[in-house]
Amino acid sequence: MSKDSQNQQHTQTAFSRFTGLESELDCLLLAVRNMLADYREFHPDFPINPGEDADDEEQRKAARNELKTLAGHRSRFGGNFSQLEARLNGRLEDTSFEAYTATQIDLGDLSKILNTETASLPLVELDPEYFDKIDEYDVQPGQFGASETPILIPIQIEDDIVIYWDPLADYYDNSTTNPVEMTLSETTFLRLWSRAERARWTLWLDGQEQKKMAEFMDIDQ
Amino acid sequence: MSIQETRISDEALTFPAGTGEASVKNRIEGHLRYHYSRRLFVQDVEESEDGYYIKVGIAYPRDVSDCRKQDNVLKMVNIGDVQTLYASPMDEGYYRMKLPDRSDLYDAFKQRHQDILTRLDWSMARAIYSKVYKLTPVRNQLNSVIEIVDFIRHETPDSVRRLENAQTTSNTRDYLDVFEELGYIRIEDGTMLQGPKMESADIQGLQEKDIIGDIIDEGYYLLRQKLGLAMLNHFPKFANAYYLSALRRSDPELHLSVEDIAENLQAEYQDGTTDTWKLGRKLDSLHDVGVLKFQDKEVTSREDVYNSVEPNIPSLG
Repeated sequence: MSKDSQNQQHTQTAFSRFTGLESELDCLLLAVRNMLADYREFHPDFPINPGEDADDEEQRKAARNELKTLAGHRSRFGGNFSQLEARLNGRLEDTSFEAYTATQIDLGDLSKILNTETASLPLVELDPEYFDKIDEYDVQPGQFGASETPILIPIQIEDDIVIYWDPLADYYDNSTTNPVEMTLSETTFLRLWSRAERARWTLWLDGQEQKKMAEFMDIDQ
Repeated sequence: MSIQETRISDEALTFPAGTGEASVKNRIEGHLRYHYSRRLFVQDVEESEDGYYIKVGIAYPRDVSDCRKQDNVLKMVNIGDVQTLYASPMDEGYYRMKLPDRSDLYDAFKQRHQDILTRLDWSMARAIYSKVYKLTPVRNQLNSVIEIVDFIRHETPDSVRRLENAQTTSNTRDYLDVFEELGYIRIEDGTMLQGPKMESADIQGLQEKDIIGDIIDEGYYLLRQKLGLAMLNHFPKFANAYYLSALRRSDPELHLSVEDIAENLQAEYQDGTTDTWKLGRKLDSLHDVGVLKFQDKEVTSREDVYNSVEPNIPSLG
């Protein structure tokens, strides 16, 4: 199967594997869960099970608690990429897998992540201006004008369009139980992703044979 | 200068000064967010002779959609003034900020959030006291307060010992400490006398209910913390599980489902009352005394309550 057709198939199936958000406070947790669940589909030896095949409530709870620990999640206060990266790598220490974070990478780099078989789908932060660009829900900023940073999973870049998953769009979608496929133009996505000076983070996993890829991307942490 | 020059290492953030306060915010916010929480925001940057003072807060999302309209509204609650960080100048235009532990920032956030909720509960307690006063659990818990007010008005001057012997509660003295602190009594050599507040209440001809309302208004924290009168914030808390969302949306017409109320209790108060039957009974009580409207499993405002709380609320985000 060619890489392109693999990608297309992945796009179709990735959404079907994604779980919907139960609480608006859990965007990071669910994004990590879906990233890991998708990755395990193609890398069954990946050792962290986010609970996608949990049989009962106890297993689901245990998996959720592990995700909380990984992301340093606290109710309302939230989690962070620093602990997530460090704790993932702590768990992956004796394996061929590794977690990476980066700022200031470009769409070419993002395409490389999406097109690398050993890499996971990435978690991507955009500027909160993103909320003004979508119609699925209405975001009211707080008293200081601040918003939680949007977190998305881009799945495919094709014909100048970025196809991605937004946990909140899913949360607010009442029409279907399937995850909502969201799209932004490549230009808008890029502008919201890589504003000068402002650090927007991207996190992904990769297998050993591709570790070099992260090195040439000039990672800044 | 590029962003690569902003770095975190050895529990400190190093960054170039750039071109002033806005530039500093842009340079460091993403790195602080990476280090502490994806919800952190830089609230304010102040440049002084000895460096930069950087105030940070936390922005977290709350679903404040109307359950009737299903209008998909997300409010980004901003909890400000969580902590002020300091960056001192180094060589060649760089600044260095020692980073406190994440757990310290989390504790500061929790305290700030708690302070805001406590002030909101107090505002609500003031607004609805005269309504919930007639609910049995509230009256039962305030029984000692009601007795002491009656004793001060009709029996003083008299000995503290007589009141202690007459009351069934074992902590009459703790109550009297609070009354004395608030200026409703004076105690001299074991004798209880009316304090200036009680004298003033008598001159104004205030009723028992009004006097107790004033005592709750002034002594809310003392009564709750020192005497453990949990009922004082019990009903305000359930009322606020609705009014929080209405006030955040500035919409007294907002309708919430019982499930929405349960989520607010859990997310904001860490109260696990999620059983809709039990919650429904609380909301029925609040409906009956006119604190909110609860019909067909939907909650909405009482205009008088919304209007009396709204101007007094602390910043809810």
